Amino acid sequence: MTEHSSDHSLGLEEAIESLLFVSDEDLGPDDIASVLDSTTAIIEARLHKLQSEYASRGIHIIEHQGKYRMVSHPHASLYCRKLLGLDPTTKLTQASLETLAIIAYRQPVSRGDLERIRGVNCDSSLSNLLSRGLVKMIGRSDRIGRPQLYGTSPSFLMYFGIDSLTSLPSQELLADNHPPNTDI
Amino acid sequence: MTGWRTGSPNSALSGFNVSLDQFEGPFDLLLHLIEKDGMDITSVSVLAVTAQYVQAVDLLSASYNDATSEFISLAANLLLLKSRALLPSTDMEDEDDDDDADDLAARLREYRTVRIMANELSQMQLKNGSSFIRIAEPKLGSYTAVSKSGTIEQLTQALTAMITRLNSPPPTIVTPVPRFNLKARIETLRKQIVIANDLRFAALAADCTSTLELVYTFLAVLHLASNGDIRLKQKKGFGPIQIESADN
Repeated sequence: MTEHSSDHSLGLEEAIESLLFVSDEDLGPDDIASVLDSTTAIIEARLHKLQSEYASRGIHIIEHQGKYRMVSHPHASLYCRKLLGLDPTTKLTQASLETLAIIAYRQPVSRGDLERIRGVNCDSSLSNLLSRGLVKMIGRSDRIGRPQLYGTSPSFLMYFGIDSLTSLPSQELLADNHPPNTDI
Repeated sequence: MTGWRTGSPNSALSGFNVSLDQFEGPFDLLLHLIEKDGMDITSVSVLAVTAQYVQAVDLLSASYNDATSEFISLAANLLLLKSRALLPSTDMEDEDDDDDADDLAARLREYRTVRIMANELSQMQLKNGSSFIRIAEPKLGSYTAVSKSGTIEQLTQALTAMITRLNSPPPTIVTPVPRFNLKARIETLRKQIVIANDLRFAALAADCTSTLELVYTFLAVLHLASNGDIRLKQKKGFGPIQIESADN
């Protein structure tokens, strides 16, 4: 054996960090557990620990639908764009933001859900969000016609500079969706 | 929605300069009318602003388009609910009516929530920066190797030979393009090969004085090869092409 795979000098968290660093795909606790010969529960706990430790570093670990990836600090976006030669992205319009808000807070949602909630045709805002990679098709509904269901992508977190969907503001509004009507 | 920029002086919207461009849809407009009067979103308040809503949408009729139809559709729905609410309830439809107005109020509240969330996202996109992933090294893709036996030296030799040919002085006398006869070329070549027995294609090509002649020569070689009259051999990539008589 030429490489130290389970070397005593390498801690579990260091190993997880290394895997997250080299991977060009999002890693789930199960992916990491199978490589490190550990259990999903242990890896998941370490990932959460790492995530909070990294919150004060220049690299963040974001989590989207149980998959983790390392990304640059959102506040460094100006410098990252400069280095990578990226143009500033055009901001999302109000229509796109409303459509995106429904998808982000209520996912998975169908095109019909979007139009019912917004009361307008959402085709163009949805295709804009899809082409920007902020949302993606994540499956099909069991309802009649098996409409496509949409959800956010990891790029959504990166665009808004947040670490996970639970960091979205106004979570309490979700529970407050259909308040009892006491005014009648 | 270009035709409707401002409300007429007597309209219900005259208090604020308004255009439908400002509104993301019929719910946005309806919500605006309710909140303008400081009302809560209930079936009562929804019906209370029906007249204002219809008046606002009425101004749209001059510039009808797809988006306008969504505003008009809600106007029609509101008028239906309003008329039912005004008529004395005499039949079983009564409960459904309340449900409809309640349902609309619920949808409006849901839409209001979405608008708040959209505003949160809007703030985030202005204030927060964006993250980027590490630019990962691309996975090793497959590339097409012309020949496994080809080496850098062979490539260099082939290139040098080509450059030498290109550098050779062009013929100074321009002769009319001779007409070639493929059959004649094939026969000449057949004889040539029998005599020489071992011939290189490069040698044949060197004898050609024009591109056209080279093409005919190449076609003749292919023809003879497909007929089985000759054998073509190339021992290594980019190596010389040997032409042998099949009789040997």
